[in-house]
Amino acid sequence: MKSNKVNINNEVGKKEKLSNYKKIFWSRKRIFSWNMVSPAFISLLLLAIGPLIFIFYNAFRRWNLTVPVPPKFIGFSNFITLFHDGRFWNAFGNTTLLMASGIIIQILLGLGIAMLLKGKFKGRNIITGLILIPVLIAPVVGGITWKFLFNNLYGLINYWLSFIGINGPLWISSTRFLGLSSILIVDAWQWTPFVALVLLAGLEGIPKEIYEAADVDGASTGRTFFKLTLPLLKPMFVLIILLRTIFIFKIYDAVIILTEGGPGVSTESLSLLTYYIGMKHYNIGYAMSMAVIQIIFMVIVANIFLKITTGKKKLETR
Amino acid sequence: MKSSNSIIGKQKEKLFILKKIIRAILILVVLFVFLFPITFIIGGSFKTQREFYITNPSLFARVEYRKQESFSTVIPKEDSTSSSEELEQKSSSQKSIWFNYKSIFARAGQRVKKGITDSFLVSIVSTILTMLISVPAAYSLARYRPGGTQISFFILSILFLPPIVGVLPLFFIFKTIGILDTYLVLFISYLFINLPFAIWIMKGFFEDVPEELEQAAMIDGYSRFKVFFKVAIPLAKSGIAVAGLFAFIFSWNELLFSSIFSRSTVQTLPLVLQDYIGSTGNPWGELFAASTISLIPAALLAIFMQKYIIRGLTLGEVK
Repeated sequence: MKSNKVNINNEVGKKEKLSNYKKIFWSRKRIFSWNMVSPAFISLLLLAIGPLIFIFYNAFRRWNLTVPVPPKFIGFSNFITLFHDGRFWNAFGNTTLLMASGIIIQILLGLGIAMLLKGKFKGRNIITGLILIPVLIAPVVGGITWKFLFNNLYGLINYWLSFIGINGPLWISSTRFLGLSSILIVDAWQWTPFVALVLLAGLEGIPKEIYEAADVDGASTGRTFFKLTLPLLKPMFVLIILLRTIFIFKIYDAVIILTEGGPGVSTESLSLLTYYIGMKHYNIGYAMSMAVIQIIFMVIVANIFLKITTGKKKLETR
Repeated sequence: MKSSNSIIGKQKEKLFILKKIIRAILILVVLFVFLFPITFIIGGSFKTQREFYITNPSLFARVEYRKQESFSTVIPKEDSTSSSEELEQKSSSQKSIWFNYKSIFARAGQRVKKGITDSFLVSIVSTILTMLISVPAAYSLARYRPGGTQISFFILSILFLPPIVGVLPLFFIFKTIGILDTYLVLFISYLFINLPFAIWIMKGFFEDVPEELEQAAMIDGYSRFKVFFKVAIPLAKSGIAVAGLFAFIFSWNELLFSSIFSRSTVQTLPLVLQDYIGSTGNPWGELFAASTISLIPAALLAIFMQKYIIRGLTLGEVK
């Protein structure tokens, strides 16, 4: 008897629970929220799922449009070729190099500019507005302009360098080092203002009392800077490094306009190489295996980004 | 004692002024470094072809070159059979400072003109499309979090993906459907760039709207949709404006998608500009005039919306 009762009770409980779940599942709130999000979700899914299937399917096939052989499943051999491909490693190295040196240069310059612009003074809004222009202009326009500026016969850079007695080099087209430097300069020109203004926002978010306390304790300016300012800016540095990693990883426009990957293939970025392999050599399978590598990299970075940013209070400044 | 104190005070004051001057000079240097290429673009739009081939170039166009040009172009025309009226028109258009802009818009079949109109059309339509889809999505994600963090992660990873990864497969998919080189293909594919960004930005702005306000409105008998429309949207309107402007700028600046998905029917401005650089002997003045036009939206946005640009470009992480 006793056990029977319990059973019945259990059953009723289960039913109640089930209907509760149903209620929650089909609650108007839930339906409403999904209705609102679904147009975006479905269009992104349609735009992303097709390509994803295409990429992961073809990365394991030999499919070259210039070779009259039907596509064939070849397992991991695209990836094995990839790991032995000097051109791929060169592009990978270039991208990493641009990322590392670009981030370091932009943070150092940006920090300097941020210190310079700190505090209230007349015309600050106009200045910050003006230096933001490079951030928003089309990379194509930036690239074209710098291509003219770097020109060794008619360019401004070498003309100005000649004033101080420097015989300017053949910037974009002579060596890998100069080619990458040119790309680095253009990227720094375009993005340092952004880095500077993020750091400026960070600097102004540091409460004044902290500096006053340090002053009372008799700390020197240098010590305050290294022991107080830099550690307090850490979240900003993390954010900048993440965002710049993502955006330099995609670098394409500036490279194709400035060097087109040359001389030879020496300054190719990963994006540009994928473009050449896929759209110029029509080696689709191989290009897709490169795409897989890039997807894996980006998923890792997106994970780190989400882990750092969610659940934590936004970096409130001003 | 007193006098030595005042001397120290004066020295301090001097040091302070010196610091101020150094700071001002450094700020000017920074401004120069970041703005001289922009000046070069604008200056270039007033230069004649010949002025791009001199070994002592300058940021600004020089008057003597424009005079020379109008002089030299008139002379060969004299022995040709063209009427004097046409000749006069030609020489007067060369003399005007705006001759590069004039030739962009005057000449029939000009690619730059098509580039500007096409870019404008594509950017406007894709911005409107993006906003229609992303505003409700951003609100829903901010307020109700459907699907937990999974959907947020999905959106973020699309945002982070190098566009080249999506371009190749989409090319084959669009080719199969048969919509390559149409306006439609750019409207659709720009969603790929704009949607995740717009959603992510506006999500932050909607999260700032106090939930109590919405609950109060619901107690007053507002439906959820009405709350969204009458309470949330007005309170997050600056975020919506920022997302829309960014969507416009991104579409306006975009090169990779348009260079692969479109060629002849649709030619966006960045595509036209890229083709300029690929060939030699082009009228560079026109290229710079087109570039100047291309940077107008960026400049307007930078100067008038600077408060929100950093928030936008840090994906809402810095307020």
